[in-house]
Amino acid sequence: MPQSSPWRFWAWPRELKQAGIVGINRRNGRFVLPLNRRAFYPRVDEKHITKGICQAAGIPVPETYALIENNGDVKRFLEISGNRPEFVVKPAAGSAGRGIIVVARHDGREFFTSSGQRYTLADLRYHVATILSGLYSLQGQPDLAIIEQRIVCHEAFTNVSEGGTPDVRVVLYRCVPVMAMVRLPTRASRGKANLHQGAAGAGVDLHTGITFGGVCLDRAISTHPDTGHSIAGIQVPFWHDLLRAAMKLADGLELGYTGIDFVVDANLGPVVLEANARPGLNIQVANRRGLGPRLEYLDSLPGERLQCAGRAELIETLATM
Amino acid sequence: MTGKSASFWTIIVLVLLGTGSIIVRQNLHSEASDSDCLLTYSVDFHVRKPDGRMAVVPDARLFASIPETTRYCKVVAHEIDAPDMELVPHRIHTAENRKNLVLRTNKEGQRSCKITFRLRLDPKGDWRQNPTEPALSAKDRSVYLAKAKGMTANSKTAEEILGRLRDNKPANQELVHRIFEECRTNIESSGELGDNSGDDTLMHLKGSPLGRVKAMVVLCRTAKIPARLVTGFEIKKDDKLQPRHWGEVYAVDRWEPYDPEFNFERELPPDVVPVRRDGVDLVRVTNSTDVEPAYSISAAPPVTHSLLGILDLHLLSGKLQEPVKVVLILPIGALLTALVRTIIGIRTFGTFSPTLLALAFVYNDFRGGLCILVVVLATGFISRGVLDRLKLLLVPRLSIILTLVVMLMVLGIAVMNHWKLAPGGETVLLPMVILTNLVERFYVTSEEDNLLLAVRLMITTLLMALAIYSLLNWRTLGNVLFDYPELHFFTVAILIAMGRYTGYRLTELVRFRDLVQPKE
Repeated sequence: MPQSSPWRFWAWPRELKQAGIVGINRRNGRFVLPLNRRAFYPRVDEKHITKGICQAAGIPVPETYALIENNGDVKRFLEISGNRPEFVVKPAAGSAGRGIIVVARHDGREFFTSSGQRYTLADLRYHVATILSGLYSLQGQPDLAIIEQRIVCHEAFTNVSEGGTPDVRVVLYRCVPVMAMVRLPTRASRGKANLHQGAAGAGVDLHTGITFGGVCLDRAISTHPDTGHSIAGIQVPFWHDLLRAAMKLADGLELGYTGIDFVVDANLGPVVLEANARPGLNIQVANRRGLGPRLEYLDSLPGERLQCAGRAELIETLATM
Repeated sequence: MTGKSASFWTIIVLVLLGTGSIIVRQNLHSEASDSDCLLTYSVDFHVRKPDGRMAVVPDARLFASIPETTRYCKVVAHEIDAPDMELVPHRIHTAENRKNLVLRTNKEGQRSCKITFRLRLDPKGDWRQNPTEPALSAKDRSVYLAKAKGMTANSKTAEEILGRLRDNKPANQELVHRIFEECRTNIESSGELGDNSGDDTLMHLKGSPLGRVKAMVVLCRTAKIPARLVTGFEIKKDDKLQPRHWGEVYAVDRWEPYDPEFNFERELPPDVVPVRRDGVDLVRVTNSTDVEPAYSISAAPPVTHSLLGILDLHLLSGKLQEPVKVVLILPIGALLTALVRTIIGIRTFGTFSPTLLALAFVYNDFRGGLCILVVVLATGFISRGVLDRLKLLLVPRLSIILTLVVMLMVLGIAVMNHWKLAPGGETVLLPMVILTNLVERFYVTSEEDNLLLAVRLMITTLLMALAIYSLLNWRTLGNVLFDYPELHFFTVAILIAMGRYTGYRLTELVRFRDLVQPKE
């Protein structure tokens, strides 16, 4: 796809419409509001519920070491979680990667993240307490802290991530994957895989699972901003397993428009990190194309075409749009 | 029914409700207002048969001039109490542009009638006046240049005076000004009410107020400038009100008022209403004798409309009216917020934080309030950084920030007071909880995302607050919404339309610009 001029500062609505770009208002008004029942939001907003659905469907998720509910357990969270050498602390109802600390090694007093950031035991206890008080929860309500297994990322992404774990975001519409991207941590994102925090993203061909294009801070890129390696042409490991897991989870969530985040573990394969009822739209920039035509195509199909057996063919068709 | 059609019909219903309510309220307004007063003509007269012939049925007609609409005053209703008389349905528009209520009776004997006009006053002068009069026709010009009873144009005295005033051949407008000054300063006022002729007044250089006006009309007509008498009232509460007279001169292209007695020139004062042009009698009765009109102006009694009266916000006490006006603008602030977020796509800290901040500033000196706000936010942010080291739980930490915010605000007020900057007593109304949350959100955003984003959000929050503050201080908007609170039916209709908007936000035109294929 030819690159846009760096001197172009805006596009006209007509041009965006022609390119099939879905804006936030359309996403909310046309897809999220009608297709995502509010009653089912906790299934994605609370990670321990999402995990339960995954486990029921046989989809791999990071093992939960402990669920901290009370301030009384904060002091001994390490013991409750079984003194694991590496683990992840995250809020159950967090959003946008906020409040997640990935501990890669520790000696019981000092804890280091994969990017080398140091925390003391007191720091971590304080962090767990702030999670419980609701600082990172979506509505600011008191929350739970999840201590879970740290996923070791597949080596396929080693050269295109900096200080964190890359993940794969798949957006599904009516339980059919319509677009995907890999999200690659950068120094600017401080090891986080969220695009709005400065992570890079690369589109993934739905049919082959090979990356192409890319975006960082809303601008198109082709190489990782820190490592300089091309972010195109990378084969996402276990791609078809990942798509199958995404569709199975979407069936369980019963949400019409959803985003599911996976980490590809070196041993376990695709592992579900979390799901989102209002996935962001930067996936279009990463893929350098709009979601509109794919969503409209699925809308034009009868309901039975969207059942399990027919989806694989659909994905192939969608990949060409 | 789909969401789209339900929204469409809701919007239609809201627009109809809004329009209907405004029409109902306008009708209510036309019936009652605090600024109304009542101008009453009380007329006693004796109806006689023509020529005293016994066999003929008497036919008496009463012509009552209707007060005219000015920028400051208009007639909103009239009431007639005239036993044994009936209203002639059509107003009579004569060539002299007089407007009259016409009553008639065919019963002989003593009659009395009372006509009451409800006058609505607007001190701001916002009423729309009657359409501009057409240019003076040749026929009218000849009428207003002609001799009339007691006003002999081209008399020797008038020519002499005019000869003096025509030194240096002044233009018409200047000549009229000189005539006005002549009548105002050189013709002595007798101070008596009465009907001196213009000729006598000019002759003796002394006359009643009406005589001086007539003298001016005579001089103008002698100078070949159309002029006429106007009779009306000064709007003041008086149960024995006397009509006032002044002149109108057509010097260039429009009639302009001149009053040598009460000294106004070219602009009608707000408290004067013209009633009859080219005449003195405001009430005339045909086939009658002993016609005795009396005039009075009194305050209009408050009109209660049972339950509908509840909806008239003007009936609220003065103390309540100002806050109600501000509160009524708040939904417009919300509308602006929705516009900025949904159509433009600018984010702020909290959806309604800017609106609440702006509301607090309304009761403050804005500059003083802004100074304190910036100091409180900056110091609060630094303190929040220090507190982070103490590893405190969320609620105690927020409570400490709230305490700090309060202390800083009080310190700010004391410092401003010391430097004679006199902060408003209401500075303490700055929403402390909002400020506390702003400090916390700013800190968390700068830590979790980046400082640039936090600063950007803080700037957009303050700019939004400033924009909404300007709205809240927009007096005209407040007054209109106070008069017609049902305009918010339209606000809700617009918000529903905005809620259904699925087009691009302006910021997305920038965000997704790279996705547009460049032209080959």
